[in-house]
Amino acid sequence: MYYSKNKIRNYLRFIIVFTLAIYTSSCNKFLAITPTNAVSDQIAITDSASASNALRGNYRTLADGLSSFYFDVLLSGNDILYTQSSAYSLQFLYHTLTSDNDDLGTIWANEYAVINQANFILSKVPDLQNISDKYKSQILGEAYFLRGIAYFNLARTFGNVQLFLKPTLEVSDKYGVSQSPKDEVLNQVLNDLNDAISLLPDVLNRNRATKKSAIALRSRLFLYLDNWDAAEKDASSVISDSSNYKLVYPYSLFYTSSDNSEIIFEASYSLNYPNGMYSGWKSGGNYRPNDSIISLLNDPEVGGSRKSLLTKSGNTILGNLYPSSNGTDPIPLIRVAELFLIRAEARAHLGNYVGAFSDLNKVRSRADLPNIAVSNNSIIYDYLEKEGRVEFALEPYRWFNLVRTGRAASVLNVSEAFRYLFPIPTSEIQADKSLIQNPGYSSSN
Amino acid sequence: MKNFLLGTFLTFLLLFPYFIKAQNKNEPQLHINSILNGKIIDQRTKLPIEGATIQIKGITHSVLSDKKGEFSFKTGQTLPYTLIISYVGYDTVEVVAEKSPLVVKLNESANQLNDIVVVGYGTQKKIAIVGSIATVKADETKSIPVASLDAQLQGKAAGVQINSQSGTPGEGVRIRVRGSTSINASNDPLYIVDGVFINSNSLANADATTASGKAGPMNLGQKQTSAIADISPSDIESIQVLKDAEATAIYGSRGANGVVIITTKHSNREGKAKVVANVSEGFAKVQKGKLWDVATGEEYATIVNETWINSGIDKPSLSQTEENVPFQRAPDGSWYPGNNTYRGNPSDQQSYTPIRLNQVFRTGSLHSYDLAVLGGSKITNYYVGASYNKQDATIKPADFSRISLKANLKSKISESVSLGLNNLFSRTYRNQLRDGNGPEAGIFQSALQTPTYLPVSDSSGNPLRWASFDNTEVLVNNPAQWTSSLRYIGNVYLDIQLLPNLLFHSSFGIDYNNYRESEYYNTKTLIGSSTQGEAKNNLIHNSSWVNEQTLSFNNTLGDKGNISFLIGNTLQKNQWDANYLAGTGFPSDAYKLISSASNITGGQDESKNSLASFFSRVSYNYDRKYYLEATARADGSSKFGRNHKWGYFPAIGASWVVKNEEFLHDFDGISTLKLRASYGITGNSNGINDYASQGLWTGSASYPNSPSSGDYAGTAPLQLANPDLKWENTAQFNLGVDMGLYNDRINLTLDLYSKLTNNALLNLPVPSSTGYTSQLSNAGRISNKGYELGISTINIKTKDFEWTTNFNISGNYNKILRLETPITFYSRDWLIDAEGHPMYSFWLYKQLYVDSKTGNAVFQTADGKTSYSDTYNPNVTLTNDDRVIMGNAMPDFFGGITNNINYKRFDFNLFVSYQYGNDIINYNRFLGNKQGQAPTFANRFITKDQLNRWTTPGQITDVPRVTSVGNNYLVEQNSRFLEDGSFIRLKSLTIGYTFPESVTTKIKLDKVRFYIQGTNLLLLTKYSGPDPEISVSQGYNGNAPGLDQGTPPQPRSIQFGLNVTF
Repeated sequence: MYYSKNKIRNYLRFIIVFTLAIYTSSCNKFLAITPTNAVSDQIAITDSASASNALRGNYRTLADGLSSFYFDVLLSGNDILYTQSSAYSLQFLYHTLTSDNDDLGTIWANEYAVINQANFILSKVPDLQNISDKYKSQILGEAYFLRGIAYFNLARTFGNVQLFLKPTLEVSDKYGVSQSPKDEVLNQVLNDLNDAISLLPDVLNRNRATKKSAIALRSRLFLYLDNWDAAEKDASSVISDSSNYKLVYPYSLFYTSSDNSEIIFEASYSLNYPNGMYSGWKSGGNYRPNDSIISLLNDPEVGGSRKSLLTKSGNTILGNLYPSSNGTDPIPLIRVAELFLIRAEARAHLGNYVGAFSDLNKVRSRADLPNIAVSNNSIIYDYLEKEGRVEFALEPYRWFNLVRTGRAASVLNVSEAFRYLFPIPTSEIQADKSLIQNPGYSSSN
Repeated sequence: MKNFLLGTFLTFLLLFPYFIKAQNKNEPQLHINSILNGKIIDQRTKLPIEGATIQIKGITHSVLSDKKGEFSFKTGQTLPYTLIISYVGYDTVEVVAEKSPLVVKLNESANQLNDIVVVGYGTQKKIAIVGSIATVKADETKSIPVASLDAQLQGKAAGVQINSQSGTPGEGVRIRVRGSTSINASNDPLYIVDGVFINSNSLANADATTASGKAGPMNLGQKQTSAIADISPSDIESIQVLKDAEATAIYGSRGANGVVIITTKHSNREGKAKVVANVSEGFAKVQKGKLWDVATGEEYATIVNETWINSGIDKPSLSQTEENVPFQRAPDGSWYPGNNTYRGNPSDQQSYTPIRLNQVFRTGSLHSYDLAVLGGSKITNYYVGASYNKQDATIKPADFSRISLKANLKSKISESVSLGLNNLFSRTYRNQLRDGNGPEAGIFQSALQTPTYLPVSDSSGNPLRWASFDNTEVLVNNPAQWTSSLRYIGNVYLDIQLLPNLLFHSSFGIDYNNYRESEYYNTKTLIGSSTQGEAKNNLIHNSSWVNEQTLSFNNTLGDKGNISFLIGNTLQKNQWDANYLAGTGFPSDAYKLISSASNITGGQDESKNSLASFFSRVSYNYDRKYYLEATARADGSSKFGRNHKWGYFPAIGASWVVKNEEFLHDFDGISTLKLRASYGITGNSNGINDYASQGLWTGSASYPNSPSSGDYAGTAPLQLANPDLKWENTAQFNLGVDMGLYNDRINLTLDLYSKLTNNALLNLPVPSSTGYTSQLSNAGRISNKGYELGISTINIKTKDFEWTTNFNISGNYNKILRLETPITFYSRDWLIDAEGHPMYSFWLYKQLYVDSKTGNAVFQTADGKTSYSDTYNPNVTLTNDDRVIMGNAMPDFFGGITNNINYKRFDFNLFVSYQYGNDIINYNRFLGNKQGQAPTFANRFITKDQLNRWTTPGQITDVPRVTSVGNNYLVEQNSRFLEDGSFIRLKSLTIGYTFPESVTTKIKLDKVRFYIQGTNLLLLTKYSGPDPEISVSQGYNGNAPGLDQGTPPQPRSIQFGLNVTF
């Protein structure tokens, strides 16, 4: 009934040898599986095509990180309200931030994700072969521009932050680096924008960095550096290109019409990559304009045609900056109206009140409001503050400008000056002990 | 890989014909030298025993007794020879057969150690078990109406903690064998059905947060469906839970969380087939009185107005006074609840919550039918089962239904070669609810949490929705989410008896799951209203195959020794893939397919892993007194970095059957005594990303080249490489004793264990200035220590009356021994894992008391002082430093008690499960306590407990004065929402009656039993919510239990059933 022991022994030997042989030869192969929806970081940037992929991805990272940051800044500007009950969001509204606020970590992480990715491009692309010098310059210029935006946001939000100009290959690369003072960070932004301006072509593209968009951003930066002369010059150099960049009429056109001349730089969205702010503003969303901004926008003497920013759903008044029903509207990052206000402010500081009022009135008349008569005193700053608030009612403008001009204390009742900066997130201090908390905030939270 | 498969295949191809051929060649040599006829009966009852195995000692040839207990043995052996006769539950006897016919009387085994226990890659007698294994007979639990068999096991197996996550049938179950060992890898045990490693994780994604209109996983609000619910409990024979390292190390890298071995029903009949039919019908209801107490419209308005005025006093700049309270009439006397300025006076307000709850709850019906046919011949045996099960949730429109087919086949192709086939095919379908996180589309939330004063419809009857909630009735009438699962689990195997004591076994098994999830929100719903209808339709596949070979051998060694060994290998591959489709912008609500949508997006995802393993087990026993066993497994996994692909998992165990020693021989009181000890190392890598060790860039980062160009491909960094990523391993020490007293009338099993998990897999936060936020690392050390005690007693046993009791209790103490950075979970960081504390601890601001003078909440602060302040606007800002780790979602101990009583033809079963010492954050109460304070007032419900707020000096209460200023309500993680979740639950009560044979034979049936079963009849708990058990979120990798978000409670149900055998 059973087989002879010899035969069995032979067969067993055969099975064992055979199996082992196969195992040793192919086990490693069996256990090596590469993903099909991602590539190794080793081969992410190897040629012209993969470099442009990485660059587009860098814009996407920037675009995806905007909504949480912008809403928190809008809340800090006190012109919107939060319909949910999370105390973290209310901290922005009430200016009672503690460093354990989760949103801070999100803002921090999003900006550094943009920076790390730009650093990858800036470190890999210079060595690439088979790519034209012209295209190489453009890619590098765009990466400098993106890194500049991110460091600009970090500096004006958190103040002193760590400057990293190389990509992360291992976590240990980024441990123990001390923070650079805010001025140095802003100076790095200036360097990045200068590099971008020298490398970028002077073409028209409203959702990618160009020479003009970098100049526009730099003019905003010069306000923070109190360099009025340079701010005016940069603003003028974009405004003067009026065939490409101008105030659109009516006001609502800048957010209802795609690719319009008002926009200098915007972040693009699509069905697959929807605009996060859209769902925040929509019916049932987490944010709404508050009563004070609603009454200003509805005031024919103040809001003018800008009341189009409001829309009604049932009994509720909603923000209307992203009116399409599928979240594909772009988010403007800098537009012509801001350049007029920048130039007006710079001109006022330079003593050119006529020019300042002229710029202010351009913004006003576009909103169907009467001109304000020229007066040669500092009341212009007050006008600019009020105009900016309404012109950029649903954009993250007011908080940063009131902080920059030192007016947040009197306008927003932020009595403690240290609150002009957000605290460094606790989670980051825990992960990297070398980080130092901003003054005024508790070191561990 | 291909080589390997080919190799294995070729090996069989080469071997197989040889056996067949050899068999044929040998056939003529077989001469029939004797024919023996006999009958096997029960010593006590004298009834025939069917299915007993009759084997001639020394050779494998065996036959089974038939329905009349009779057998016939034709063999080449000449009489007399020795027969070994065995049957489960009876003592095995050796009989010298001298002449035909032969009558053999079997004694019911008095000794528990004779039971056969399923272990890894085989079976053993209980006496030989050196590890810790719990056995549950499926018959005990299969009628509990919770759809999945893992949920049915609650309270049945010591050391196995099981909690259903909601009262909705077929939803996920949280199961922990001897505590939690991992933070970021899975804590679920390994499930094996008839030798096939199955996927026990739902293909639904509990953490899905796909943006509106975007293709991706469907959001069920941190809930999952149960993948185990695909298996019909009616097909299950028994369930074994392997707990200690000795039992689980043979499963190596997958054994650390315990192993659940499910054995389905097989037939060992010869002759006439047996048919078993079960039918049950029933209904389920929630206990309304147990639901949350919600403030009435008037109470609601009073609290909001009071908060308004108090806040105005605390912070005059708010300009909130009695003149402009939110609830008042207009100067002309007009008002409307939905009006932002003139909502009406408090006394004007109505309470609509009861209406909404009525719209949601129903009496659900329960149907269960199953039919099985068992039969076979000497050569082939089969079991075919079919079942249908449908259960309504008590909350509309959720339900669960399952159709299942089971076909098991075993055939002897020759004397020494047999071939078997196990097949399980099922389809489950669920109408689902979104619950948990976020109000959008949450049915229960819309009913419970919509402010009670807001009407359900306008004056002309059109449904209204408020704040961020949907209209309850609209959701109920427009079921929005449904899922279906097609599942095949099966294998084909070959057993070759190479020598009488050498068995070669090979099998190839498949677990295939086709999971479909769909949602459609029409324009009447909140989600659909802003997108003109929104739909998702996702198809997710998971398939895995496993090929295994084992060679097992046993032989005597010396005089009294016996040695057996097992060696084997397995190869396994798992592939998961998903296709996502989403659409928004439908022409009208009549169009429901995505092809009609104006915006369509799609997505695809895929992931694979492979595992190659070698294992062996050596067991030795001497004189049935001393047992020694060693197992080892080597696992190679594709998930880990080149440096750590292979992991090695050894274990050793020993037992001493003290009762078999001479010196205990005369102690009649002790019928069984056995001591066990084991130590071993098992691993875990389940639940982590298949590519976690690799540095990757994602392709999901498209961006346009210009505003009008549309998206072009883009790439972005996804994760950092961790080439050092390796196995999480758990070393476990186990001490156990099995004792039987008075002829095993009292049986006791006690186990003590200590588990230490090293290199715990952890998503370690890294500085996000790196561009990444976390990295999967081996960074933690976690300890679990505990005890398990099971006692079963036969209290009374007479001819007509039998009463047995099973009791079990288990306690587990979990502690995180090393964790560099604490990790928090859930929005608002309610839970924390921190060094020196158990997992699943809560992280709270400890409210010491409410100051009776001011009504302010006084919290404990980090400096050991309090946040006490005399002013109404205390400036003591509390920070994370002031938070305290207190309370824990895991119980101190838990277990169950089962009583079975048989009196004549009646049977009675009472099953109680209990849990003690687990804490719950009553999140619902937290949400229901903060309506006066957000910038938008009154956008959720108020729970009645807030009526106890402080109002007058001298008042003693723990609910602070209502105000939107200061710490009272802005400090959210307040310890006053922490509650004791201990409970005792009368899980089921069954009364059955078996009709007398005189009746059944007349209608040509063998057995007819009728029963009534009640489930969840009684719940004793101090918890203020409706159910202390359902507070389980499956999101955050199961790391956020114990937060009661307002999920439907487990229903009370009554079922009537009929079991028929013929």
